[in-house]
Amino acid sequence: MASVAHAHDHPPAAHQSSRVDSRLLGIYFFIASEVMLFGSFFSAYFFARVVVGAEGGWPPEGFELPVYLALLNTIILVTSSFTMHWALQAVKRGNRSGLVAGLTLTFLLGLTFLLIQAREYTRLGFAPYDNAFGSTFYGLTGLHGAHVFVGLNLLLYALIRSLRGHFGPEPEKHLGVELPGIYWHFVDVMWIIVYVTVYVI
Amino acid sequence: MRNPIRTEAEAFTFVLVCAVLFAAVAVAGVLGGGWVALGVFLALGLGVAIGIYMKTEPKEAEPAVWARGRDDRRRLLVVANETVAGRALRDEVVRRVRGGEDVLVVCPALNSQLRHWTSDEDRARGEAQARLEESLAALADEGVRARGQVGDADPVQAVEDALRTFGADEIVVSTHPPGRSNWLERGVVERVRERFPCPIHHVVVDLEAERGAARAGVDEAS
Amino acid sequence: MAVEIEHATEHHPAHAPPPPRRGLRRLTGAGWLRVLWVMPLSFGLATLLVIGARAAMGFDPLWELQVLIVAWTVVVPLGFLAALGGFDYWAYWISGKPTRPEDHSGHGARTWKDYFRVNTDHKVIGIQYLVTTIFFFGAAGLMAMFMRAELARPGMQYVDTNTFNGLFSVHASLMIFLFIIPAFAGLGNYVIPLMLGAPDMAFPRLNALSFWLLPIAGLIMMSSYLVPDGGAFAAGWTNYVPLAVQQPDGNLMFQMGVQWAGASSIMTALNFLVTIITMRAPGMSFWRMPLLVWANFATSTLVVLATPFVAGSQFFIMFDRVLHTNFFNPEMGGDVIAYQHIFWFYSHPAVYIMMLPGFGIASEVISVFARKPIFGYRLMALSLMAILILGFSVWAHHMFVSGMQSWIRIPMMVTTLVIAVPTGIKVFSWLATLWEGRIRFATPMLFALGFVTMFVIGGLSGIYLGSVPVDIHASDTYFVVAHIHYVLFGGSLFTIFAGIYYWFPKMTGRMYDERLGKIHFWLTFVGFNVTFFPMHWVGLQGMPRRVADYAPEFGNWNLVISIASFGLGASTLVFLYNMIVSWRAGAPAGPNPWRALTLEWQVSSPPPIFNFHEIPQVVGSPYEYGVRGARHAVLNGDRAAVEEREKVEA
Repeated sequence: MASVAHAHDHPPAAHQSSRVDSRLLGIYFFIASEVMLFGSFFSAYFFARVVVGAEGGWPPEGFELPVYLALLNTIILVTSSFTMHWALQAVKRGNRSGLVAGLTLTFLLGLTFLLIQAREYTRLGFAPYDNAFGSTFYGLTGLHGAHVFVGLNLLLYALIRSLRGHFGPEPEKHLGVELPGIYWHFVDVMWIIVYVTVYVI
Repeated sequence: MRNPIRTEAEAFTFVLVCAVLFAAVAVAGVLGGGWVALGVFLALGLGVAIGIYMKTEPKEAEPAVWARGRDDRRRLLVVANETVAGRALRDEVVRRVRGGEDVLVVCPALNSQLRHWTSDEDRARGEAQARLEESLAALADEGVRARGQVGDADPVQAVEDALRTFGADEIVVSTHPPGRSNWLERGVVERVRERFPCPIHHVVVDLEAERGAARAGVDEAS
Repeated sequence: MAVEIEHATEHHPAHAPPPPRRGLRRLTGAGWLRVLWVMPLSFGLATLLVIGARAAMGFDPLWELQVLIVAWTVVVPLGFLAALGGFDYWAYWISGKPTRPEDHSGHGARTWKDYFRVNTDHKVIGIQYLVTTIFFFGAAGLMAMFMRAELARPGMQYVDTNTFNGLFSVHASLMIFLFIIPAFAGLGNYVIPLMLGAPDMAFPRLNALSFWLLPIAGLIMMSSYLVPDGGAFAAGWTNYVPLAVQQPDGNLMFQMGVQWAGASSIMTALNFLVTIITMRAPGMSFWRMPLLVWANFATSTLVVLATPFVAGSQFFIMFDRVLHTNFFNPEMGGDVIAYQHIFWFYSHPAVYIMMLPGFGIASEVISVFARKPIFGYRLMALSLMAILILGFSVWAHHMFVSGMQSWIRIPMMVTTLVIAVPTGIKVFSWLATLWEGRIRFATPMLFALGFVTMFVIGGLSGIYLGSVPVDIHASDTYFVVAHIHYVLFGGSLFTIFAGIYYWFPKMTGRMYDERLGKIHFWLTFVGFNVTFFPMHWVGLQGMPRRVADYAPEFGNWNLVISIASFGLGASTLVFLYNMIVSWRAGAPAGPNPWRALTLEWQVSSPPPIFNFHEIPQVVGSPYEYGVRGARHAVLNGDRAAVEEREKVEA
């Protein structure tokens, strides 16, 4: 087969056939699949609660949830969404210190959330192996906590890069903050749903 | 449909909307129990979804691409939804062809809605081909040498396709009269004007009226 | 084997491959040498972490194999991927160093070695997928041969029941997760960017990573045979509870293997979706995309939305086993049937994931080899979307006899029968495409035609199984085994073969041997039918599935089936021989041996390293065979030629 001498050392620029940026679309689909993963955990929860637990009452005898502590956690996480949004507004205006401050605050708030949740775990009085109630509770909140952990990592990388001055006001130059921001908001929305479903209703 | 969460700002708005939505669901759940909460969730959720859909802005026009001619010749693109034999369109084309212009006639294969969605294009293409040949013959009668092609069913798409190999300087669009226009012709002139930044001339061809006038003329003469 | 492509390195030193490392630095550069020492290190690290954590929390015994297996199957593959270089770019990015411009050194194949590293070229990745999946196809096929050897006569001759259970479980898991789904991903990976007029996928690095997850998943599943005290996972690929929770430790290998395969699948699907939406050539609206692209679009949506459910289902089993949770423990408030609902909510869409790309391939092949436009193109695309949506509503037809609430069976039966409508539209459309076409019976076309007929048979048995009364009788019998093999082998596998033969010239630059291809087809077709058709009968007469032994009255048919299956297995050798020998020494193929219109055939075989010198412009539908003057696309330099030609014609 004859070799092809080629004049191009780089790919031709692909045609952009949609107004949505490909990386934004990517994170959007990723979040869709993570929502479905939460969906499977919610399914397990609803099977345990509605199909089996209907007779016995829910929560079952002897199980109680710290609704108000979790409400505090909810407020902390929603606040962290505000600080995340602030960070992004700052970088869009070229305000680097605002960006760093916002990211740091969001990170600290998220970390606080996790620590409070960890402490809550030790004081709940029941374990994952206690009844399907325990299993589904720890399953849902644990899955969410894992996502918060991943989010904290993304925030950390964004923070490191923002400290090194990588980001700028143009949309192309702060995708590294925008995408973690969208992910963080997804984590927040997920918590609201988990909180209302598991703790309140 | 436009994706409602394209930027972080929109995601943040979504967070706020969800906070309010689920606060309402929580209150309903505490007051009325699990099934009431589910009902409130479904109702409000549907409301939010409809709200997002209603706020969808219309798509902005994309910049068009076309093949710029290599030489100095002027090029005229004629989009003939109805035949060039129509007096109005023929006059328009002849007027624009000031000698030496390349003319390309594109006849979109306009189709009915049912046939369009069942991909039953043969008759539409046949009719477009007939319209095309009639148009080219009529132009040849007037001494205009034009070439032609049958185009996509959507006239705007047909223009875009033609422009990829034919660098038109002007476009003439002919349509049926309103009320007798094909569903694919809807808004075609506005859409063409939006997308292609060159002079666009619109001609309404009312073949029935023209034939009627011709018949009346013949009756009078006889 | 790979075609040598001259790379203009003398003019552009930035794009030359990086200089080879010397001495000890050879061990720290991304690649297999680094893998050699990082993997044992990760193994030790995982072990230490588990034992350390257990000691700190006061658990006893410290050495708990289940927990260790979970840790090993997570940490060691991560170590492997990192060592191979899958995370290098992101690690660099995370550490905050200034971003490097992409030098494409990880792109393209010049020698065979390029196929064994983290390569960002979708064409390389496509071939990596195909070769890997064929390997697992062979492994799973051998397991099937063992099963058929055992089942040839009543009584136990070669294996014990537990081993047999392991055989059918691993066979199905490998075929589903390591062959059919990734083989379509591989074909799609190779062809889709070319068909769209794009230089590569939207996320080439993610693409490279998603391939390497696959051998990891396969090795985890196959290594279940090595787990002491119990051997391979043996609860079927469906892994129902409570058996899955009670089984020996080998079951964990299925759970973890599925996670890796699922992750690979989701990453690829995400890539496909973003590529199809954002990287189409100018002029290619959705209604001008080839049906293969539509099919992969629908499939990728299914993968992204449904696969997390199987991940969830296996997580729950793992938690129930290792953390002693009670998701499925009825004594402690859990729901056993919940597992089946959650599992089948993915696994039914999974069968569409395993078939829709095949529908796309069939459309391409049938149109080209009948020299006719696809009949009813828009409805073909819409029926793909209809199957996508309806596919989420039928899962409980796998559970008619499970003991779930009986009222669910009626709506599920209705939706199951309804989903035959869009599928039927497609079948009639293919037939109408063939009608009055100029049919050329090349090997891809033979497989595509074989697919249409065999899939109809499988679909018909599916209609029977979709009606509750019939299913109550036929559930868990060989009737179901016949059905699934007609749709998966006669359906999916035939289209995979059709696709491999069809695109073989494009991928390798050589033609396969047509005579051997035909022999392969006929041996497969006859062997397949003699193997699987009698299963309808023995199933209806009462032979259960997933059994190592059976009542003596089924012995004769089982003997026939087994002998035929050995012939079927042998036919694969013809295929392998053809592929290997033709790749090395087949006749050179031009850019377009099939005279097809789609974009991948408008470039050389194999394509240039970045696919196109200039992005093509699409001006018409991709199926306008026999339509005068119709063009699908205008390529570089074409414009001038077109203008010249038109000037002459005027």
